[in-house]
Amino acid sequence: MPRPGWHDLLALTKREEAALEGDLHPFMTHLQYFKDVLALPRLQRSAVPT
Amino acid sequence: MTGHIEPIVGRYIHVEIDGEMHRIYFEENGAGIPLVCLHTAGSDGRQWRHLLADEEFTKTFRIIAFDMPWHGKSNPPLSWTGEEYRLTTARYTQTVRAFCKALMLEKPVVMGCSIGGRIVLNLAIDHAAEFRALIGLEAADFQAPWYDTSWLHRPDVHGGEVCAALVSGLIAPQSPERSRRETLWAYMQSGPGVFKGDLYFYRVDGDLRGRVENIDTAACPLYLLTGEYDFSCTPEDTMRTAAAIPGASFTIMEHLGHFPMSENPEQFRRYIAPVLSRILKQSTSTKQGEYV
Repeated sequence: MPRPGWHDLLALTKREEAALEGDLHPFMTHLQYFKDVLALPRLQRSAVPT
Repeated sequence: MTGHIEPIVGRYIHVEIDGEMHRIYFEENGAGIPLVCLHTAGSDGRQWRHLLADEEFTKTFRIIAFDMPWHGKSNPPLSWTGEEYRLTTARYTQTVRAFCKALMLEKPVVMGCSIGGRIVLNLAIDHAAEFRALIGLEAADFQAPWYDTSWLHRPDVHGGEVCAALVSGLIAPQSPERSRRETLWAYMQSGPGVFKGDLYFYRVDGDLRGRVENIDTAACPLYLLTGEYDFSCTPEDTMRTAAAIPGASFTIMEHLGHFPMSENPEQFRRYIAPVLSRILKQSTSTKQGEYV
């Protein structure tokens, strides 16, 4: 599980570890989709037997 | 009758705010020390439904959650003619005090989250004597903005979806999916421009830097609790605020974000139970046999 502050795209932009550039309209109108795609590896990792 | 009916009761009360009557929806359960709960920006009192239904807390607390005007089932005032909604510090303070007065609550505890946490600090600064204790969740004197609020209300972007998507990252990744969805659902249902209007208070009008030092926790105890995954009001923001207030209690809540009471009610309960217990003890020791 990501550490606090490293768990969300906008958390990364707030701490200036990432930047949003260009035409943001398509990104903002599909914001939850982009976030969910980036969070998919968490589900896969939790599904792998340890 | 076979259906399960929850003990929470919802009613409307007419409250005068700034010279105009407002029809305010509130829910309550329990008996004892009045505990008024304030929802976050762009949401409503449903966020508190788990606390309201808590069998143990409601034995000693009368827990009340109301929808701010423009939110949930509390409509805009009748004088509204379509102008942009903007919440101010003065208006928010008036609303909370007027609601408590209308219900004739005797020295209530007020617990607010996010903008509710911020206004709790303002109540502590200016009206501490009216309250038994104040609890700020995800509360700070100020926090840095992290997105452009003009995205929240414009004709070419679905307001409900973008509001929910923006705040979704403030929920801790450990929170149950069902609770995450429920928390975001309220944001999807908020009226157009209401979240943005609440953030006017949060980002512009409600800057309390340089004022929280005046809080007297001897007059009214102050408890501040912030989730470790809240990157809007970070634990560092709350820690800085608490450090400026002698006697303020500060707790970092693990595995929680910006919406502790709704995103993970079981985890939140672990942190709020000791606070309510302290308030209860403080009240009973003040006068034996009565909650004063």
